[in-house]
Amino acid sequence: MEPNFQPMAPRSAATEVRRLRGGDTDAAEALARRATRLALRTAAALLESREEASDIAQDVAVDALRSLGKLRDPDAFDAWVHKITVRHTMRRLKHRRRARKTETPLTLLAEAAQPAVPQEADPDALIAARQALASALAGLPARQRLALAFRYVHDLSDAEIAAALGCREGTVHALLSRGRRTLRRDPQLVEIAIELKGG
Amino acid sequence: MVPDPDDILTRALLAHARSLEPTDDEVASVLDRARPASRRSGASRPGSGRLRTVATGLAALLLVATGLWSVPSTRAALEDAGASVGGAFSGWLGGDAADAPGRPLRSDESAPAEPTPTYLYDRQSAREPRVIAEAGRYKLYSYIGPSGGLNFLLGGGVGLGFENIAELGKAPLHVLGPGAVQHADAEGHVPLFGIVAKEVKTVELTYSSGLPLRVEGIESGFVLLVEPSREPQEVLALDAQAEVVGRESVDQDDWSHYLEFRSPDTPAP
Repeated sequence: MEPNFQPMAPRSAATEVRRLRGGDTDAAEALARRATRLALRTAAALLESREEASDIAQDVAVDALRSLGKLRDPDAFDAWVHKITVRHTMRRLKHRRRARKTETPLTLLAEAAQPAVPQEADPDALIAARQALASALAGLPARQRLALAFRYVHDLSDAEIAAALGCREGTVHALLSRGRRTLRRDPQLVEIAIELKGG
Repeated sequence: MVPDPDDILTRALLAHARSLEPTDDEVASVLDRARPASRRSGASRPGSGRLRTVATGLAALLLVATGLWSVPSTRAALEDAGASVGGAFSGWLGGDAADAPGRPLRSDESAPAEPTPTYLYDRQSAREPRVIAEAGRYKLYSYIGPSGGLNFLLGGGVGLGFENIAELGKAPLHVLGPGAVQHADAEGHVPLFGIVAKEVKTVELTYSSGLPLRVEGIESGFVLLVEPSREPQEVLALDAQAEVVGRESVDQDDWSHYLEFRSPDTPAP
């Protein structure tokens, strides 16, 4: 008889938190990776360079792990990381200077098995596209940027975004609307978006 | 449903971030930094082969943290009188008007839900009456009694008196209660009154399900407009860094009885 191998489903964050509290050291690495990933994706949506996004992501993950004992509901791990990300990102956006030219544009880094852009895209054009996007995003208020990142990078609901930003759902709706409208008014970005979609 | 063009545009523009993954070095660095300083490897960016080692150290730290959390969370605050509820009122009671919480009661003060009691305007019985917090149609009042004690008035009905600051305890949060309200008001709310230490800037009320009620910009006291139908669970006090510094359970209260009667000012269906 053929052995019946079942693919192992990835454990939830809540499971990892409970495992860690039970003394399972593997869970620490899993949670560190999860927190870093969540924050990295948020920060990368807002910033020009991967290094800067990585710095924020690591700070967020360290904060999350160091204070994990305070997390009352293990199911709320992701939401909790998002909240910490908001705090760090807002601080960074408030005080940051212009990105250093030595930093690596996001487009030059291996990003994932599933490329977000067509393989045949011109690297120079992609760099220009990301810079145009970064420039456009930089013109948006920080909370609009964060709301856009939570919706279009993490697919969070209005309620989940409201919880992360500490505001009402109605405010989230307004932040998203204004952010989208501003991006739409940038003709260069519209052109880029069409290219990225392969259209 | 026709896709929103703005939606499609924004999603395409941010697509690059959706699939980013941290490197092993980044994860190792996080694990290393999250450990206690005395146990760190000393390298700022350890290689991936050290993940297991730093994870073990971190797990030990987190187990300790979890253990600490299992004791009453307000213990540290209880040991720190400077971060206590009493600290928010001690200066005022000591005669320092500049350190008084809230704002002075105005001569034309009105409270739609419960009229402001007239004795608050009698300087013989109520010295220096103040409004500590307000929300919707409710106010939390405080005044110094004839004997110098600290008094609170929850809305217009229930009064609480403390002979001295020590009676307030050393916690950073003190839930005074819902006042004289017998049923939810026309909006379905019941006011919950409380006082906090100076370091508390935000108060959060959790429910058995759904989003908590969060009120920011707290100074010395609060009035929370509670939805009794959602089974309130706990009031959390957070400092300026959004760290929980105090908590008080309110789930032992029978909130359901507020739903049994219709408020007199509720419009007919």
